[in-house]
Amino acid sequence: MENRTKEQKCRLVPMGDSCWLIQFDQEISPEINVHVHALAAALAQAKHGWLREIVPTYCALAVYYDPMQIDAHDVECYLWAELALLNERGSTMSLTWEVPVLYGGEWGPDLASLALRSGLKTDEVIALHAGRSYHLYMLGFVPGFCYLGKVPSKIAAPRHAKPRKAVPAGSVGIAGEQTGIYPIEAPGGWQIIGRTPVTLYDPRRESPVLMRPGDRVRFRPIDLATYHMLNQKSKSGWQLTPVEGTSNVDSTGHQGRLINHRSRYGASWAPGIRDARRRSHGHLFLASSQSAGRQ
Amino acid sequence: MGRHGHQAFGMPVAGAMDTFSLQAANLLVGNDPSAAALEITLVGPQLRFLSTAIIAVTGGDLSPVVDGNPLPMWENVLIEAGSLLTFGAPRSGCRAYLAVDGGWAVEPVMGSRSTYLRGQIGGYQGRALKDGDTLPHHRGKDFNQIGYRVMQAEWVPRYRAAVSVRAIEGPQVDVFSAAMRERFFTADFCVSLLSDRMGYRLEGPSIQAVMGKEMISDATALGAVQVPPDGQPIVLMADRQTTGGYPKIATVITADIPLLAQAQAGHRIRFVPCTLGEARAALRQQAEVLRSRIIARRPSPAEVS
Repeated sequence: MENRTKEQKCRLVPMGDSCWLIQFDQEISPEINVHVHALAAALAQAKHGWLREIVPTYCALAVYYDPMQIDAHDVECYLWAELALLNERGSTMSLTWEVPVLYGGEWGPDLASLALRSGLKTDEVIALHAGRSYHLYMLGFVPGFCYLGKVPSKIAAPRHAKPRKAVPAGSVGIAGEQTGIYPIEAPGGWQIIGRTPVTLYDPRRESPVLMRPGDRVRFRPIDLATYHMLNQKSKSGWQLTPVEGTSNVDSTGHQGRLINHRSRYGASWAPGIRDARRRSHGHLFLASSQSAGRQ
Repeated sequence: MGRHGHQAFGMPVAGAMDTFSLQAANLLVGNDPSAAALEITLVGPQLRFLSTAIIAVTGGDLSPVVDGNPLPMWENVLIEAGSLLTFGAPRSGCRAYLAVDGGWAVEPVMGSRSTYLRGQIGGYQGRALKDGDTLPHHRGKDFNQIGYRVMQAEWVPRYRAAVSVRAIEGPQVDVFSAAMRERFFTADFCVSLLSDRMGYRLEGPSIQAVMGKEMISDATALGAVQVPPDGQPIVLMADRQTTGGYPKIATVITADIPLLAQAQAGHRIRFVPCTLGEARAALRQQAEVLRSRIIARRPSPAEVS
């Protein structure tokens, strides 16, 4: 079940009896990720009754359907047809976030062993991790968990063989070339190198989840006193704001953000986030006629 | 039935573990099959009814008792105001479903009444019930309209300590050798104590993947069986994470999830290979049972009073 659409090689595999997984080239690259989000937007646009939901990830797209309404192979044929139609729609508008992190100690219990494994000092691991900005490829796992990449290959590290039963909220980890932040306490196998006092997920907020795929994230090392101070502020409702917004123009020169894809996945609070973003960064929304037409 | 449409933001689906029992309980009391019901796991609550209600208990047998009399399961019962419903020792299965006429009155969050504990949303104030809570329900149909209903005995699921579940090969099956796949589909696995609504951790012969590099995280699905490097599979259940980075060797079919959801620590699980066509046929059969095997029954004299 292989085929080529544009430059992207694809494979369709069933994930049970109610989901097809479309696998693109399995690598972490913004180009492939943009393709994934473009296909997600196109599929969501069609609003089929049998289509339950769509979950874009780094280089795969999960399409969940109701097997009582449609046959799996009809869905498969439909997806191949959509893939054939897929063209470069990708363009993004991103916000940049600077996330304060207390590295090491009880907040980053795997920092020392990761440094040892990499043949580096802990300070060097921190400098490498905080020394670049990351592309936010997807949200998933638990509400607001952001998958960021790539970390410098020197500090890439495998997951724990046996996942921890509970990783505290705010933990910053590495898995392979990915890095990410646990928004709530959850089980997990990532190498935990630090913790942020920022609240990434708050069900009481108008927008429970802060960041979006396509955003940029960088980490800023902080000391214990700053951690405690920000932790207190977080508890009393303080939330992180983006440091800047940048317009990305894709290789085709097409400008504008696929803002519409956010609401297309059906989240009732997506419009709230969009509106909040419009208020604070209204001038940054350069939606082209094409993407505006796809609302 | 879960919170669909929000997984792209990392919001898990949640919902009942055993959707067959949930739907049956609701249909028995004349509700929409997806109305809110209570999921009761192993240790049941004591519930005092403040008004007359029609209830049905399905799923695992946790020895339900009303005012000292055993409560028949898989049928509807009229409960008088002031009655006390209690639960005792688990006899089979581990999750009971309690539906009440009209459904429990809790507000939907993102389109669903399902509780998602880790995210503190849905259900009753986003949490498990505790001592002293008062749970209102919508007023359902009149008892004369619903009548006495019962699930035909031969269609009531039997929960055993050894369960076979059908599974379709998963998206990362390629990273497992033929010998490992063979082992996976023939071995007996034991449900670990660490199992919960998020996932069933299994213990058994080690299943090892051969991977050149770390897998890139992708989406998950209900029933997806992921295999961490320790070789012990985890079946993802209702509160599963929306994405994950362990290779998925197989996916348990939707129709067999209810049976798996009733397995408890120490029970044995075996995976049987299955095709998409068989999976769909099984799901259709289950829907047909819910549609046509819940029938009117003759009232017993005690209940006529």
